[in-house]
Amino acid sequence: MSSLRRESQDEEEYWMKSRVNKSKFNLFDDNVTVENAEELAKSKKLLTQFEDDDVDTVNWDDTPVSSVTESSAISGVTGRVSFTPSSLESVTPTVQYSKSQEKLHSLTSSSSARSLEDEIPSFISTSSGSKNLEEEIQYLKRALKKARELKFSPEDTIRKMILGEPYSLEVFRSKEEKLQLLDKAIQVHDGNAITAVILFLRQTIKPSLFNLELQRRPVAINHYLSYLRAHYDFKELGDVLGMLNRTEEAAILKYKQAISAPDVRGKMNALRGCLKAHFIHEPDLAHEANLVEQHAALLERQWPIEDTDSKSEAQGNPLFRQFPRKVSILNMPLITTLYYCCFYHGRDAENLLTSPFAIKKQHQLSDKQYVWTALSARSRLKQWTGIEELLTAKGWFGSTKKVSVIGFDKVCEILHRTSAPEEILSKYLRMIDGSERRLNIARKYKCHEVVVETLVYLRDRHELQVYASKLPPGSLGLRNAQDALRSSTIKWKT
Amino acid sequence: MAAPSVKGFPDFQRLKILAKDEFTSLLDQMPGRKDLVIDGELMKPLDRIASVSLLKQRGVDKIFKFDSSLKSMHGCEQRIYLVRPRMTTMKAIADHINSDRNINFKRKYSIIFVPRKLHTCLSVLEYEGVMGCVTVSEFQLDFVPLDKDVLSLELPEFLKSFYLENDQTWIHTVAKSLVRLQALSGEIGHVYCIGRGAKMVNDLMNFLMKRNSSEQDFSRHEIGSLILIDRDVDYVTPLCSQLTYEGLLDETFGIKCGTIEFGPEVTGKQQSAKLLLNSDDAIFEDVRNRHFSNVLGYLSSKAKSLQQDFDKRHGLKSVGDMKDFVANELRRLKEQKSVLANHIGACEQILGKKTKGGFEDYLQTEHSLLEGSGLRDNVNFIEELLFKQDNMLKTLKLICLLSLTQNGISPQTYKSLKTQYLQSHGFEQLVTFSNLKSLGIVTDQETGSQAGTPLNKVASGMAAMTRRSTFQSLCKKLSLIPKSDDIDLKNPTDMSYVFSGAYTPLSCKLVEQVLTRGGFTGMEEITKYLPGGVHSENHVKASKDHSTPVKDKSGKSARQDRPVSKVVLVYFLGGCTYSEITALRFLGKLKGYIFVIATTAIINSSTMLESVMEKPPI
Repeated sequence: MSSLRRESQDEEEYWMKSRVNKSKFNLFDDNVTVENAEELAKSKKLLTQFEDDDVDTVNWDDTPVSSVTESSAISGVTGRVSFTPSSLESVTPTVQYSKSQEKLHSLTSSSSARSLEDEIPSFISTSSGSKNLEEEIQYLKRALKKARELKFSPEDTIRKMILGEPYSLEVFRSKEEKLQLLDKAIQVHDGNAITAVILFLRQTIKPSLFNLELQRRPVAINHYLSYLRAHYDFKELGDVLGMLNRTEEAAILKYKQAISAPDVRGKMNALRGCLKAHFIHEPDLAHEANLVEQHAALLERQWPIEDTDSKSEAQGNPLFRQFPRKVSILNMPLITTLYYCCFYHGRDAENLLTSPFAIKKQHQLSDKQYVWTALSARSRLKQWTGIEELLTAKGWFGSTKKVSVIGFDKVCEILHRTSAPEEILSKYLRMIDGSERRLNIARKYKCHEVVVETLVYLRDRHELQVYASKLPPGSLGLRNAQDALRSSTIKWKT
Repeated sequence: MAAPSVKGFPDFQRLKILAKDEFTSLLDQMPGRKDLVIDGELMKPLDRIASVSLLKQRGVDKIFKFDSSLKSMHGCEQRIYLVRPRMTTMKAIADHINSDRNINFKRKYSIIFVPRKLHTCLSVLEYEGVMGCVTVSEFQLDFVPLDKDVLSLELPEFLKSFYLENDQTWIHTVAKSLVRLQALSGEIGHVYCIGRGAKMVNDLMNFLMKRNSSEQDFSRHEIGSLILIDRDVDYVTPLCSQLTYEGLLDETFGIKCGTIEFGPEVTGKQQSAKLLLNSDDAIFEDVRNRHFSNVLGYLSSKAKSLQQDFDKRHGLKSVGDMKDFVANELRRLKEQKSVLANHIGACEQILGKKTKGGFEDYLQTEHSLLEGSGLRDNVNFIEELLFKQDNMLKTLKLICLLSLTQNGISPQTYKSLKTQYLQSHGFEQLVTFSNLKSLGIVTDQETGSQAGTPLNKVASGMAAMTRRSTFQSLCKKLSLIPKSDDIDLKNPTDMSYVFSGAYTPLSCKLVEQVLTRGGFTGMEEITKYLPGGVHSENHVKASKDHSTPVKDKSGKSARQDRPVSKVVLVYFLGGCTYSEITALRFLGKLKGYIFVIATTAIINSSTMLESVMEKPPI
């Protein structure tokens, strides 16, 4: 390594010299050919950026090397993958010239500022030193030999990439070599190298070939997709997913894009469009299609509700004054919307957008979902009759009975959470099946009356005595307990 | 702090010093006054490495937090960006530079990539036309030593990047961290890989290290074995509610890079308190690994004894004693008192939160999911949480556990739970479910056999025959669910104490098995259920045999008796939880190992899920 370093230093000196040569050109003269300018730029860049030993073997211009090695060598110099010689060649010379000029300008102006300073001494020394022609010829011979010997193998290049050393992908012109690069990168599991090679491939081979080779390598596909995602290149991302028949991922991607629309109206349109284009025709996505449909429908409902209610609130509607709206209902989840409608619009007719029942119907909510939410809202509003209605089912022959799809224990939980009065709570506690369960829940919510009743029902005199001893004097629960304890008609358990 | 090693632990202070030196020399590459713009997520790790005074000393004028939404930035004429290699970050930096150019403001820019520059980032800089005016360098900060036995890359995005997007970019960082560590501590003789990423890291590590096997005397190396384990081998453990003190602190307050911030509700004062949580804090060291039920009692007894020490001052006889007390004792006691007060305050907060949120019912459901019992009740419980619109993460955790323990959810239940989840927490969560499906965390049994969970992929055929899920098979084979109900949480005898004796963390049990068997031999009945397979390498060979690493088929490891081989580095890819660290510490004490835990990040159920979840719109 140290010998290499020395050698590279020698060569650096050479470079100082060669730059002297070059300074004979007027860079901004029209006579300078495009190639010259380009290469000049590159070699300058090289000087400032690399002190690597491989690169200099090839980066030389006005030297008698055969044109083939020259061209491949030159592209190698840049060390930049995204530089594409082919595309540059096709551009008209004037454009190209200005490009190189710009590049040169930026290079000399900023990045090379330090290196220029550093190099001035050596510059002087070499220029003042005799132009040892013999030495230069020796060097050129050596360099030529090295350039011919040096085979850029895919393995070496990948190793350089992994070690963070300067490398060049442009030397690989054949498709086979490029694929070797890719396969080597995949083999050693370095994502950075894999992505770099993929992007190089994308730039240098035609799309049909690129896609074909990519599809043969799942690891490469994943890295390409990951790159596209990070690059926000959603169009290409969607296309690739489509090409790979990964319809679900493509659909979810489109959905994700649709919901990122900033305004609600745009979002509604985007959702509808995305649903039509990516979901409804896919049999595998039937369930997802239904959910996206629901999302669009929900926004279409929230939009007019928000519009009307915010106006109504501004006009001083007493309902909103009594219970001020905390936030806009827009973009809230469905269940929150249901709660909102139960709360502010509980009695609205079913043909209105605000009707809770219409929401239940459209979104095919289960009875449990509906009752749970409606009950919470009505309890918060202290609409006890409303709760009764909710829990009343018509039996046969017009009779009615109390039923709860969520179980009366849960009804009591909601009532307790929304701080319903004891009288109401007791009423529903009594409907809990199973006396032991009822007893436990009543104890939990401290509904003394129900506890006493249940203990009496269980004929557990001992427990009743214990419980009564803890009740506050004068309370209804205590009186009931004392009555029961005094009663002679109860057959207590022994 | 500068002690060479604590009770056999390799000294990781060296890593800090190296990182500090590297960073200092990077700062010096831009001599003179300069501004430092730091990526938000690098703030805390950098804090552990270098102090603000050091930065000032090296010419740093102002320190800014990097904000990608800013189109331009003010400051002095030299600027250093210290950032993670991301394309969006590069775009924002290019915007800053171009806006300076537009107003002809001359400034020097340097970008320091942590831990490594990526090709894609350089491309962006080139594309934006700013490549010529920035200097680019790397700060290879990988391990941040959080404690004497914990090293973290502080790279939480590994999980999403590697397991969700199948992007191998960060494998290099993991491999490199091991290479650099071994440069300090000596090569590690035994390597065991559990999972896909583990094998990749090992391959890349070997590629980077160019091992010269023969000449080495491994007995002088500081670390005997390395166990690499992929997170996707065990998603169940991080989803379980943590019950150790340190785990609960993380779940309740969030421990960031080894520090915790207690708000006024804990400190009982106006201002909040920042605490460094590590083994230097004697009180914390005493309680961190305890089951929570066993913490508050200890702390209050500690408070009493502290009070007694305080009371000693009344008994002081001479002025000299008094002086001595004030000079030495008082300061220590006061410090301890404030630390103790904070920990007690934190306990109260944890207790308050847990009793309010119906935690007991939740925990019971979690445990019966792990046991695989009462399926219908568990689903009902989840539905109820959805009706109530209870915390969306909490509910999702149970859905994940349901799927992971059952090899996916039956199609009908899957559809119904997914629909109800979306209805309760926003349809945007469709994206979350899609991600969880790709990860194999929440799957539909119907599609499970094809796309499937990583676990399923291996065992789908077997599951069909036995009707027992992969997880349940592993539970049975490794006896992860202890039979006896009564486990002494105060004086535990088993790793399962970290989960109240309900479950032994699978990841830690695998570590135990590998170490006691000295490899994977005889574990075929278990390893066949692990996604990504297993692999082991033994570099400790007789000196004559100079061949390259030979796969350790026989599984025999002759050097178990050597003291060095008792030091085991366990490296979690994709993150690990404090409960797992605690379980391994316990295992170490029980079996006489010294465990060093390395991880890409420290995670908990919430941070893990949040990293793959779609954010709610509001």
